[in-house]
Amino acid sequence: MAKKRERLEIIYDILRIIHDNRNKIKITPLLRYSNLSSQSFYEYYNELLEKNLIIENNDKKRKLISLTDKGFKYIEKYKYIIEFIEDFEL
Amino acid sequence: MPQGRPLFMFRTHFSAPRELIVIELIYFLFVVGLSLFIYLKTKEVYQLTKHKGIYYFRKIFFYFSLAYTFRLINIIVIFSRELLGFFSPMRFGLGTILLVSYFSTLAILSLFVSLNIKNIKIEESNLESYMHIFAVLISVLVIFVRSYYLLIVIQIITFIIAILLTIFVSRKQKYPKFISKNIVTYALLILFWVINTLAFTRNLLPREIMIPVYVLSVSVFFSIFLRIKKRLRFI
Repeated sequence: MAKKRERLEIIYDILRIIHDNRNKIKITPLLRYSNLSSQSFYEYYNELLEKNLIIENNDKKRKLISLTDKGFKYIEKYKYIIEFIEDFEL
Repeated sequence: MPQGRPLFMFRTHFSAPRELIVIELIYFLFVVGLSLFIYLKTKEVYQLTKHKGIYYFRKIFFYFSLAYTFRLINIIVIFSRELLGFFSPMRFGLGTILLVSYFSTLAILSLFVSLNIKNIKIEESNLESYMHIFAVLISVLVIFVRSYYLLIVIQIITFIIAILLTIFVSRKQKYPKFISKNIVTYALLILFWVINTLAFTRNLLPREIMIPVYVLSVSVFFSIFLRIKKRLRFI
């Protein structure tokens, strides 16, 4: 059985999907690509908005999701953050 | 241990308090400097992730820096007559002891929580309140009983429980690690804190032992500092 994804890994995956879609994606494909249940997706989605890692843009009546500077930073530093957490067993 | 005596009535064989204070000041600068560096260096990682383990990890060093600061103030209070030419009011001495007990207990509790964060099911806001309540109770008890030994015993028991819980939980994992380098590092942090607490009861260590103990204590903080610096070099 595949290992359950950790919280930080899920956040990274969601941000990565947005990033790989030229930093513009609608919520439905994001939900589909994230491989999460609808309920847990929206929990993470709201958390990311609250933490200012993503932002909603209204473009021609479509709601598009983009990364903020903080979101880009998270992707860039994810590897080091994980190494740090594992090293100190946090 | 004489019961019922004010804590700062203990006297030492140290004949030159100025020399002692210089040693203590250098020690304080190293320990608090390294602790604050660790606390500040991990700030961004915490802000990005809001990871609870990182939160309590940072708190260990924040509270230790405060505990070591009030420890130094307490030593200055103890030697106030020799250094400043007057006796400090008794309540000032008791106040610094209260704060040393409070912050050092919080540091050890933060260590306990960061080691077992994945197994603690208490809501975070409640957990912090419990930690503060426990630290206040311990500090008041130490002042009431007027014994550092009580503080030392409680802190050692708290730490032993943390280690045992960590080992117990790790046994359930696929690849159990009984003694990790983190547990050894944390055990040394607590050991040196306990020795420090013994030292400032004025049952001071002989100078030949005191300086190597301080050097080893700084080395433990320095080893954590180096690991953080290495891991977070691009952050």
